Amino acid sequence: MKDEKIDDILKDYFSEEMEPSPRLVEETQGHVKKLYYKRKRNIKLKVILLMIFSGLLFILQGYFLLNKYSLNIITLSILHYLFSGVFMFLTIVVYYHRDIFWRFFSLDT
Amino acid sequence: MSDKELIQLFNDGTLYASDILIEKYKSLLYRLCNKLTKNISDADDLFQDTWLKIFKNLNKYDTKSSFENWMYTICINTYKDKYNKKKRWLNLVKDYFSDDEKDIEWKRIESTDELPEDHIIEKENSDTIKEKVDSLDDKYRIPIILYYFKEFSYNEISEILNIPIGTLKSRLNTGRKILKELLKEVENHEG
Repeated sequence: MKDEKIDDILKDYFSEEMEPSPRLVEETQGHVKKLYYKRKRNIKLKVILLMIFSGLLFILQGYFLLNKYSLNIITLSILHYLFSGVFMFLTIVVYYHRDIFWRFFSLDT
Repeated sequence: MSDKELIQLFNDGTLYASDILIEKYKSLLYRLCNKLTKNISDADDLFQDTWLKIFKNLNKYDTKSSFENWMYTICINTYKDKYNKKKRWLNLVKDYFSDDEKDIEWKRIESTDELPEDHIIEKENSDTIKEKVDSLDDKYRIPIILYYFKEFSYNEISEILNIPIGTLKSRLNTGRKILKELLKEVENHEG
């Protein structure tokens, strides 16, 4: 048998048309959809966790400003809202760049 | 619609984009799964696992590279991770039963005239080639599959397998040499 003939046999063998069964395709599409919804749920969970964290920081900084530094009410209010603005901004940044943070906070099993 | 647009749609939350991607590449991917694995059941599992991995890691896909090649890389890595670790004895048991099944099939074919003779010979040839290809070590087998499967260039195969071109060429040559010897032996034995 010549080398070219073997090459042709192998080419024919590897280019045989093959179709997965419709049931397999449907099942796969179903699994992908489940994965998508699971991922979406995880994103929501992460955002909720970040908001809780942000809220805790908001309360903590208010407590420290009030008790540690004994600031007057106007300065306290300004600083309080300034810090809370920063925390909210950080939360939004993290949410919109969640694909980058995904690797660090991944809750996928 | 291009692959990149479909991926963008999926990442933006349009779920039907995944159905279109699966429909588009199902035949190609299934063919590769079938050539990589030793039986239909493993091919089906590999097909599903590959798609799940693809959609799980779609946010890591670099849109500058080809989606199709990325898909093949994931398929081969999944195969290496999961299916290649099966114990040898399990394959031996499966081979034993598949031989028995072959005999039953042959008897059935002989007793009825349902299939044309050419088709039987073609099927038997295909089985022989599969047997010989499957007997190769994976480091030779996988480059050969990719080389003949879609006639990829050396560059593409080395990219998919993440190995240097020199190593790839050497493995391809060795693999082809072994395979040709094996097929020549079959022909001499039959002829």
